[in-house]
Amino acid sequence: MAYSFPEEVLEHVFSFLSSDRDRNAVSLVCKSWYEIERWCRRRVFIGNCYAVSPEIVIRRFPEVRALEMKGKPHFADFNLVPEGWGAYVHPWIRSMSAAYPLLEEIKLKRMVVTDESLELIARSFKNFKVLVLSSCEGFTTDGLASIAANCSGNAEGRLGGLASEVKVCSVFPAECSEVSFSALERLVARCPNLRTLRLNRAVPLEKLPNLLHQAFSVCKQLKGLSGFWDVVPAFLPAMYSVCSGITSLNLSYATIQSPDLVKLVSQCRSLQRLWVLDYIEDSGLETLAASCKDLQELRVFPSDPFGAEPNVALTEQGLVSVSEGCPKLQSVLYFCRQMSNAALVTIARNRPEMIRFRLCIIEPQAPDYLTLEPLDTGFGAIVENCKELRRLSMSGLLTDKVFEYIGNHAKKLEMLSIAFAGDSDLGLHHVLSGCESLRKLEIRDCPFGDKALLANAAKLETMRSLWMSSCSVSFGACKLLGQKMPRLNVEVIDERGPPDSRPESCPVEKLYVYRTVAGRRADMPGFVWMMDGDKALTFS
Amino acid sequence: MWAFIVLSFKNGRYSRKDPQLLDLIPKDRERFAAKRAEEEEETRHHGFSEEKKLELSLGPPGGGDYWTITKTSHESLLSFPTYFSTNPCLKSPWQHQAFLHHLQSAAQLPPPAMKESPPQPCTTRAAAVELQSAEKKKAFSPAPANTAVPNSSSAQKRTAPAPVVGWPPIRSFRKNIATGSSSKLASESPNAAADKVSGPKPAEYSPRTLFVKINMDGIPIGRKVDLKAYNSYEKLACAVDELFRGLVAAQSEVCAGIKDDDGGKGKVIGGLLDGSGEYTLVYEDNEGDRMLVGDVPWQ
Repeated sequence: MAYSFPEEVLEHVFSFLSSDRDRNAVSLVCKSWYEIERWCRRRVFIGNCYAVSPEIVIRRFPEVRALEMKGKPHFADFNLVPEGWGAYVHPWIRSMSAAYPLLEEIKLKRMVVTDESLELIARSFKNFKVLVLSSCEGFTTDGLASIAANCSGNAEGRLGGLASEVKVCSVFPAECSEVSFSALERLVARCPNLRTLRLNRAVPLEKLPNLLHQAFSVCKQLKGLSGFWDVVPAFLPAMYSVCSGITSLNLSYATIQSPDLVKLVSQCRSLQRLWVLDYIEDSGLETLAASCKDLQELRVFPSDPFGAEPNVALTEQGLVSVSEGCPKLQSVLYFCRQMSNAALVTIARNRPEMIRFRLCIIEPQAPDYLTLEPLDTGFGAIVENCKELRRLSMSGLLTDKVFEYIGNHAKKLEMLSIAFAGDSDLGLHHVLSGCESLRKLEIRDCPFGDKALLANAAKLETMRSLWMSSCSVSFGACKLLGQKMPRLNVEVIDERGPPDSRPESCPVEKLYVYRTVAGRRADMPGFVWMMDGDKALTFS
Repeated sequence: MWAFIVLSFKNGRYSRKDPQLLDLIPKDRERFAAKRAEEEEETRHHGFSEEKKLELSLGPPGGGDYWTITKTSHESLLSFPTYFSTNPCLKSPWQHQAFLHHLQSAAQLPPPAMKESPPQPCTTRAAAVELQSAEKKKAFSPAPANTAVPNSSSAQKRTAPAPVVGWPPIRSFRKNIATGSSSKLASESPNAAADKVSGPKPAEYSPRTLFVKINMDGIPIGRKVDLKAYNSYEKLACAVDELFRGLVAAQSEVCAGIKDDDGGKGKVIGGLLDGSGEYTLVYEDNEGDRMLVGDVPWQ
């Protein structure tokens, strides 16, 4: 085309693009579009903080207003990543304090955030509005206080996912000054538009009913409730008045049981998201299926995960009921103690639009409890029927066959979590060669070795990351991968000492491979070894 | 119940050996010796032989020379299809492989390397301060802050085998929900959970000694102490100081290359319990979580 739109027009058009994928696509059209787009990108999402450096981000996008970033691998949630591994946010804050004075928003997940970083945030960004720390560590109430003290206006601080002793989890669009219970009460009373109320353990129980009464009488639009560490049935009637509007309910720390639990849940007719403990049992889930037709996401957590015997009457049947009764169900996380292929096939056929399916059968390698066969057929049905499936976590007894099904059918699968499964490298090969959309693969305790990994080395550059722990990948293979693939960081995590003090064929404890344009990182602790092209083995 | 105690500071190494796996090696030595000859040939070709229980080849795992690296294709570092068309899939149950893996790695533990410990960045002060401030300022971390006293009943409820690290995959703060609140439920809710609380508790077992391992960061050799010989945390801290003082001195001599002024007697290792010293006492509970010593009453 001989003539093109003036820059301002293009910029205006681009301002309607919020999705990163769209903006990335736009950048690839031509050099001038690349230039225009990069100057007007306001939100940046970095899925792996080590995939890129602050300097590179700042150089390309000079006018960022919101940063979202993730650090440690997902399995860090389950204590599989040793402490001190990394994911420090401070270098980012330091760089951004100079480059992005107008920054408004920082969202971090699984990163180490120190009080120093929080203080720097509070000092550096005049327009700061939103801080979200999800599963982060390394800070104290002092750091939070400095944020609260310095950030006025529409500040919202949310600390989802932490077992903490902070007094208040949610700060409302009013002042976020000193946090105290009376302040919380006053704020609640003034917020008719309150949408989300997150409380935690430290709110004194005896004051809770009054607070809730105030909240509920004033806040007609209450949509989400979470917290409830110690909810006791006596408090529940306070909530019934608002149940009809509730769309999101998190009772996953609440030890209330049937019938109170079921009564509460069944009153929330608009419920879209429910997180609950297995105290709800099969009967409760049946009631849920009958009452909550808008349900999209269900998470059932185990109340007694380490007990040898089941303590509640929750089986695969509960999940089957919900899959039958809730036509919009698309996201499931379910902990149980028994499962059958028949149930999985039923669920798959009931809900072909399933997007996230995470099943954890508590006993590793538990077979179909009816037939004692592996659960290959069941999970195979899931991936075959649910063509939009983006996330899958499997458990139970599984052979290489299930991976063949996954490789053949799960074409939109982006994240796969595998534990105690498979027989040989063929399983891993099926996944790496078949799953076209795969971005994150995390594996623990599977008999996968070098062959599948090395044969599919190129695939790893198309993914965000690969985690393999307690598998059979040898040190030699890791070295080879690191040498041949310069755009991957191949990290060997091994707390037994330097890998080269053991034979090359010795398996490594943990392997974390991720693509990066930032090269090797400079903050590796003593138990992490980078497999480089320069030297075979280097210390940090 | 405590699995073992570790003296740790930031960036140190944490040993997480499962003592049970190491115990298996001596028992099976006779079987191993008898079978080794006939198994050796098989293992070299197949890696792990099928259907053999606890195949113990204490050398490096499976032969590796039946696949070749093709230098032409950069992407595929392996001529993969050939391998799979000729070799049938091995149906080795995971347990045996993982056992093999663990046994081999256990057998290959490097000898205590006093010769070359690269100088660790000195962050001990920072760590001690961090721990101290962590206690005082109510630090945040994904580890459970709800140290609702893990009472003895919850520990004994566990008749299941030793839990695997990170399994089931739930976050730390979800682990103690039932056990942490069960006492409240019993008293406040008439439709009680009391009936639903899980399984029979095993009978009380109280031996006369309770030896636990203590490892100190940077020191390759550990010590064992009998917890029943002490009646308070302070006495334990003193004992730890005495046991390790000499070792620390010896270690720093070797590392720094200079002779200690007081002739190797070593400095007092103080402040173990309150976070004020260079080292702090932590222990690892049977869920694999690191806990600060001192929260639970000594009994």
